[in-house]
Amino acid sequence: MANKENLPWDLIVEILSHVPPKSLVRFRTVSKQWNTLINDKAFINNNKTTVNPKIEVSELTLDIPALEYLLPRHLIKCEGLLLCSMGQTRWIEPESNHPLIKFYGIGYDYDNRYKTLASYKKYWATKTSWKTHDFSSDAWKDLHTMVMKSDSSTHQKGGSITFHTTCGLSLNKTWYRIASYDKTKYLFFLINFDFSIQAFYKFCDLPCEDNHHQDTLVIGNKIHKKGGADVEWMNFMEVSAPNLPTLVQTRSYSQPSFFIDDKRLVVCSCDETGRAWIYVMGNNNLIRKIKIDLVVDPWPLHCSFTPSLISVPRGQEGEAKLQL
Amino acid sequence: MSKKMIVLKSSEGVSFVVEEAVARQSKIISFLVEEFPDRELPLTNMTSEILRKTIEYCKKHVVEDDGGGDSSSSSSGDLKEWDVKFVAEIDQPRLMDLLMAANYLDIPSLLDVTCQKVADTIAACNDEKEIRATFNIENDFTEEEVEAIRMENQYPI
Repeated sequence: MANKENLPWDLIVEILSHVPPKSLVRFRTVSKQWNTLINDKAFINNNKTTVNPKIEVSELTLDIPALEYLLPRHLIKCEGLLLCSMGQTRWIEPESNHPLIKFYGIGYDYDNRYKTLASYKKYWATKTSWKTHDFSSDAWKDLHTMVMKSDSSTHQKGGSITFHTTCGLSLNKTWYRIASYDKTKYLFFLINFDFSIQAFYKFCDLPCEDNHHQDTLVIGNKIHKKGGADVEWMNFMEVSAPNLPTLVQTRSYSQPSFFIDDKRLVVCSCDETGRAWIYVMGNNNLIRKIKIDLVVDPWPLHCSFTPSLISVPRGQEGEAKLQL
Repeated sequence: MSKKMIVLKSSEGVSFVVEEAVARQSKIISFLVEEFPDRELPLTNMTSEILRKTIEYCKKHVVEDDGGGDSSSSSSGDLKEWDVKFVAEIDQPRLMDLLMAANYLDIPSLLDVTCQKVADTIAACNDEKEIRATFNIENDFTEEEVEAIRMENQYPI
């Protein structure tokens, strides 16, 4: 299927900018000209497959009979499972004695059993209590107090804890979230919950002290092993405020959701009027700004979510079959 | 309201009468129409077949702005589906010709669609030999150089 005449080089460049960079790497050996092009950072940075992301908007429907009218309040995810606090394909029945239940995270323990972490408040109580729910046994378990197992010196100094950001991150049997002690308001740290031991730990301090009023967003990378002592932070990207729209926070759940793909940061956020936008950023530049026209309702609930082949853990009728 | 028509002539001398709005998706034609109104535009490097295909694409993508607000004849999703079908039905040599036509006439959306189709073919290629055959590229590497590049590619696949 060779052509009579060869394509001009600038058209070949144009075509190759539509091929995903990962596929291109294989073709460096085509010719010297191809090798030089594929090694060119400017060429890879302008790749169409990353600059023009294909965005599909789909609505999550709750097809549980009689519950269609309920609106989910939170979206919580771990691996391929997405938990909405108003129900999913699997319905979690709260116990009757903790009516004000709020789901925080979903994760799995050493036996690959999926659990959800939830807090609840009794009507008359001032303190929040914590519970976990095991998907396979459908059992609730109380956590005695929200005690942190390490770093007791800081704990005594700090007192009670406030969570920041609207959601945590579930990773490798552990759930992480940004928090601060109420007394040291802008000293943020990572708190983690170990689903196997069922306890909270202080993981490590965040490198951005008192960053509340600065105009940069620094995203750390790589959490290895256990314990936060040997965490390495790297400056992934700095995004200065003039390049960014106001990341408004008018309601607790409208915080931006994001994911990182290679060298790009993709953020979904609402503007002042509640319309959802997707911003693609790289190298401190706003590369693209896409309005999600398909979503009509203001302030849509959103999260970044990676689909996978994990099936929703079944209940008591059998052991959960989970493969990770 | 009568629509303004213009005449495009292929390399074989075949004339195509096209609505001006349709043809204006080409930035080159748009420019030529303004410079030389009421004249036949010869496109000497385009065969009738390729010109017909290009016009077919432009007709589908023309934005009808004279019909008021409700002229959403095809939604963007339908249009995308149509594009995919449109390029899927063309064989490789003609696809290349169409790509070059889109480039020559400066029709960005058609260039995008045809490039994407060729890019998909490239991404599906197994090795560099297939690519060289498709694009008629000469291998100017020595065995050692190829080996050196392969060693650099430490990407796990």
